[in-house]
Amino acid sequence: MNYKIRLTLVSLFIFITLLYIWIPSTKEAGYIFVTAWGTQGKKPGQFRDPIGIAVSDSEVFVSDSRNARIQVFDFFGNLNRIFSLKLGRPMNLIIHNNELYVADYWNDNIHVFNLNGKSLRKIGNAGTGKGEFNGISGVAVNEKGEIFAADFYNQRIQHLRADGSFIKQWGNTKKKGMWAGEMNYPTDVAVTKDDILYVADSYNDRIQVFSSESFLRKWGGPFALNISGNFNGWFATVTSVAIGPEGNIFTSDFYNNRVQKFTANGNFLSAFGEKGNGAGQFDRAVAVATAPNGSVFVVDLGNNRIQKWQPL
Amino acid sequence: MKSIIFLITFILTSNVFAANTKYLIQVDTLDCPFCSFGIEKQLRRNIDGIEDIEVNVKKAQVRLFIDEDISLDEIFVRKTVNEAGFALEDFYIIK
Repeated sequence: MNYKIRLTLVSLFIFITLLYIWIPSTKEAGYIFVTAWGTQGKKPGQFRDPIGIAVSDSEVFVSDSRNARIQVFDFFGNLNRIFSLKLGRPMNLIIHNNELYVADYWNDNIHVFNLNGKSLRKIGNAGTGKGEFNGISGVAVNEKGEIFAADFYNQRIQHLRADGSFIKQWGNTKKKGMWAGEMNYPTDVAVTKDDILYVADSYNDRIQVFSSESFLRKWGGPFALNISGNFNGWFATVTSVAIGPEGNIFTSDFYNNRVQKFTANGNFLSAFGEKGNGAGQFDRAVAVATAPNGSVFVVDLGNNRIQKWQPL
Repeated sequence: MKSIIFLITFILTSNVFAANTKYLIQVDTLDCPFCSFGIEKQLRRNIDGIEDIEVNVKKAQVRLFIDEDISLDEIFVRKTVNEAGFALEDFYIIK
């Protein structure tokens, strides 16, 4: 009897300890919904499967994927301009040095535009070799102008020079895996000024972090080993990652219909959003980007709209 | 006059219906955009004569509209679907 009670207590202690470790509590006040814009359609200001988002000092760039175009809005949702120069399926995108880098999933390249929509250059082409892509989904650019690309079907992240020549890769080409450094359909990347790379390792339900030399850490559920869930700090497919103005990490937690915010080390801070089509609700949050003033913009895929949130 | 209108309508309608064959592909799951774009891309690359593709993400179904001169067999479609990262559950001709 004593043994059973002791065993139960020990089990309970272990269970509570694990819960504490793996289900962190909210650490900050969080965010409040401000506004939303967009409906389904082909007209200006409407969307069909919006996927990616990038924010400049004053504008929001949205990849309106099934309409094969980029739509540009001010911070209140007013449409400023549209461009669609031979894009296939534009996905996640990033602004670097006043240039817009668009991951084009169908054309297997990175299409670079100026912010007025003039096509400047294309980087990469279809394939499995170095500097080639099979379903490029996300792109990031570091201070030196080097490119990081989430190469979805090739199960890898490629690190390229500005001209597209290959430097190295993370993950094994066409071979998915769940151990550290391996990928399972990566969809997005973000890089800090000091070259720390964050990867949305989408179907492993985790974020992986790398220095320029090596794997650093991962987070998302127990041991970050492809265990999904809707607890704080867990993911159900993480499709986008962005670095906030204070260096915190924002993630779109796709099937959990929310955005989660972490410290740079992966400690959970807060989350916002729930399933639905009302104010502050999402039908699959697919991408997130932050403005310099701390506002957060989220692509609400199924509702074909963009949402704006701000810190409380 | 009526017969001429009927004849023109018949010819036009016949052409529309003869223009393509419609296939329905049912896959295991298809509810992420990366998946649906991936299967569309794979089908367009591997199958000639595709005139249109409609993807119903919630039903995990793909409707293919293909030139009537081209026929698809299940083994080929299964391979293409597998290469896109999915499993084929059903495949049949609607018309």
